[in-house]
Amino acid sequence: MRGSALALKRKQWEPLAFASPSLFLITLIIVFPLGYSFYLSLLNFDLAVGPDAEFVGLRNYTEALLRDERFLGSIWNTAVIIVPSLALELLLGLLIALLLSRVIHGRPIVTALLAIPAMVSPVMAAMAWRMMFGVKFGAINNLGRQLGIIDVYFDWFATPFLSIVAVVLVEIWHNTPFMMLVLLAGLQSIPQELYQAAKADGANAWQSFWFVTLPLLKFTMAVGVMIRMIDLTKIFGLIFILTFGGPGGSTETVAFNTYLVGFKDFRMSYAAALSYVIVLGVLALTLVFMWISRHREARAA
Amino acid sequence: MKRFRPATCVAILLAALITFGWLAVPDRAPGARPYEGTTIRAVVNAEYVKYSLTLVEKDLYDTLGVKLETEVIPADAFVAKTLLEFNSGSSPWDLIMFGPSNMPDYGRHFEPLDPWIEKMKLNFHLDDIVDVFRKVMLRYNGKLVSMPYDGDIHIMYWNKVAFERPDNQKKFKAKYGYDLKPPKTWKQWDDAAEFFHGWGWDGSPNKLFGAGASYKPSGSGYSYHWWRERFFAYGGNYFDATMKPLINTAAGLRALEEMVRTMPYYPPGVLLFESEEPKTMLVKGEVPMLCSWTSTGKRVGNPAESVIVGKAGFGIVPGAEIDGKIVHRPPITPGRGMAVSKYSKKKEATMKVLEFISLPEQSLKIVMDAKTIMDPWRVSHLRSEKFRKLFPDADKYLDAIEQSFPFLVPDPVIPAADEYQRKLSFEITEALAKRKSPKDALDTAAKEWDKVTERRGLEKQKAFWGEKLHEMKSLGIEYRPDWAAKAK
Repeated sequence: MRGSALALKRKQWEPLAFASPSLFLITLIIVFPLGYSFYLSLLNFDLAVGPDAEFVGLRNYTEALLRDERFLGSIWNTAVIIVPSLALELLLGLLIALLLSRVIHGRPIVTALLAIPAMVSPVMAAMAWRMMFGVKFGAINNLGRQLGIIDVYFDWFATPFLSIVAVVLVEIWHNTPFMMLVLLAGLQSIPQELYQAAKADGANAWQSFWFVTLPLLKFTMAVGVMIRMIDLTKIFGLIFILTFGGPGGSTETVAFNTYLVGFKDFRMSYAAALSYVIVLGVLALTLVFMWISRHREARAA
Repeated sequence: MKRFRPATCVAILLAALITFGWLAVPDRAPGARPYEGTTIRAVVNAEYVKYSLTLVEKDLYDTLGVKLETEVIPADAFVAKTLLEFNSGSSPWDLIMFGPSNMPDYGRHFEPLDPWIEKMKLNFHLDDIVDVFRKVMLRYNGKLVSMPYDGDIHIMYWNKVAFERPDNQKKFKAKYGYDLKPPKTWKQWDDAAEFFHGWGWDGSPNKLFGAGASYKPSGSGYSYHWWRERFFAYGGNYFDATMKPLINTAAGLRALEEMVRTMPYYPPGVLLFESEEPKTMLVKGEVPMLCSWTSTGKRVGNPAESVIVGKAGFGIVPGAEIDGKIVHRPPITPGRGMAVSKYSKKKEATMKVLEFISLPEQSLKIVMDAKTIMDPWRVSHLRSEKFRKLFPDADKYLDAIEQSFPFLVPDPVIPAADEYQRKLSFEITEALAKRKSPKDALDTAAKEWDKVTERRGLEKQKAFWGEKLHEMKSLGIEYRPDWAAKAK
């Protein structure tokens, strides 16, 4: 009786014991920083003032969401960068993936070559493009002059609109390969029999794409878009190097604004609160996106 | 006995020579290298500042036996990282570089110098420090806590070719009705910028630009320097005695409206220019005039990169004509200081290091080297014959710096000084990018300033500002509400 009770107890704690090193690590590197930064977001800790800080409850959150026009503006700026970037990355990624799926010889090499931009760090990509966008000596302006389109003195960062265009262009160059790889994997998982059946039913190429490829690729597309959306919400390196949030505050994204608040204004508690607002925002967006996807799937079924 | 006498004499002579020689070698002299084996850790915000310390490193070791270990924390993270360490009540560094406008946030972490000056008989040659720097850069709560390291101010540079070509002079006079000369007022500056923009004023077929500037937004505060040299000339000041911001008064508005109106005469890319881009355009002969840091002069005089060596003019930044007299208000922008950490465990050696690197002859080496971007801050730097002959017209360059000193305007050196500047700078760039009208931008900046004041505590800020207001008054800077309308 006693033996079986011990065995039962052991059964209960054994999995926990095996998992404990991982749990300890997770607590140390994920749960603790998250918990601590949340605690920090409820204080008014300012690096320049000193280590003493008071508990202010949700004041930082209400300031961020109700009174901080610059932060609210940065949400809009982020959206303005995210929407065209995501749309064009998806379209171009799909186009390239479709073309690649038809390549029979040397596909791995072509795919690897096309994926190179995604392997470059955002900071490196931004540095390279900053030089390419350069006035007078930049490659783009010089090419533009030879083609008779633009002057070498054309300033890609002269106006808010142009700066956003420049940021979106670099973003697309940098991350379309990721979308392409995801969609290519999705395309290759579609059984060929379905295309053969569609062909036998008299479907042309467009109908095959519309009625076979697209429905079966929807889930992969949703995953790709979701990953990119989460990533784009945190866009920082590109902005830091390319525009530093300017001209004015036209390309100041939420992540960049948080950096300025934390590391320039030294308002660590407020920056922690902003980070939580961003995390919650991304979480909400992801949930909405997932809900829409499921809802549509359910309706289609 | 007789046989040994010469040999003995030679031996004695040799022994004496060796002994004298040993004693005469400076690094073997008794008392030399008193801190042999000591390593002092310094922290700076750029590689070129680290490089500047290498210029005195050898002499420092030969004299004190101290080795310097310099850590570079990039400027963007410098203040946050160093303050984080200090706020924990410790610091891995003994010697700290800092921006003087951050003094109210840093000062309590610095070791006061006076007790050590008395105890160790240190000589910082305080009388040799330029008056305005001595007044505004060195003290915290009335106590001497730092020494200048970089005397940053703005002066005006111009390309003589642009201003002296007879053809240009004729055209300018025909268009504006007065002689083309290096501008003395902002009105003349704006006219010249308009005149020179878009054509080869050097006689070449090239498309050249009207003037240079740095308007990079947000974290850097560049545009703020260019705005305040106009703002103060039009009678502005940061706050009144009650801490009400005065930046959105008529002086501020006029300054910003002029900057917005003349934007087309500046080079493409100016909205994202940091300090070095317009300097390069000046030395390459692409802009005819530039208000810039004093370090620019050394680039102007460097034949390896400059096409205007011997063809450049140097002067005080333009001002405004008020009642027939020109008022100049060049800014301190903002410079660098060096201090000893309160938490250092090697305070005595660090004090000696600070004294050594601040010595007139050692600091001269640093400010003369173009690669350091450090600027003169001692009177003896400006008078040094070696410096005055460093490049063609170096004497005129140093005279222009000296001429500017009596009119310098400091930053608002109160707690959160950086934050005030950045909020304002951001709004200035919002107006320059035409995302807001100048009035909206300055009103928003004033509101942001109120928020910072409220957060930091109105009474505390008022007390700090009261001191600064007094200091500024002693420099001849007061709010003059009537000047904005009067200024020509």
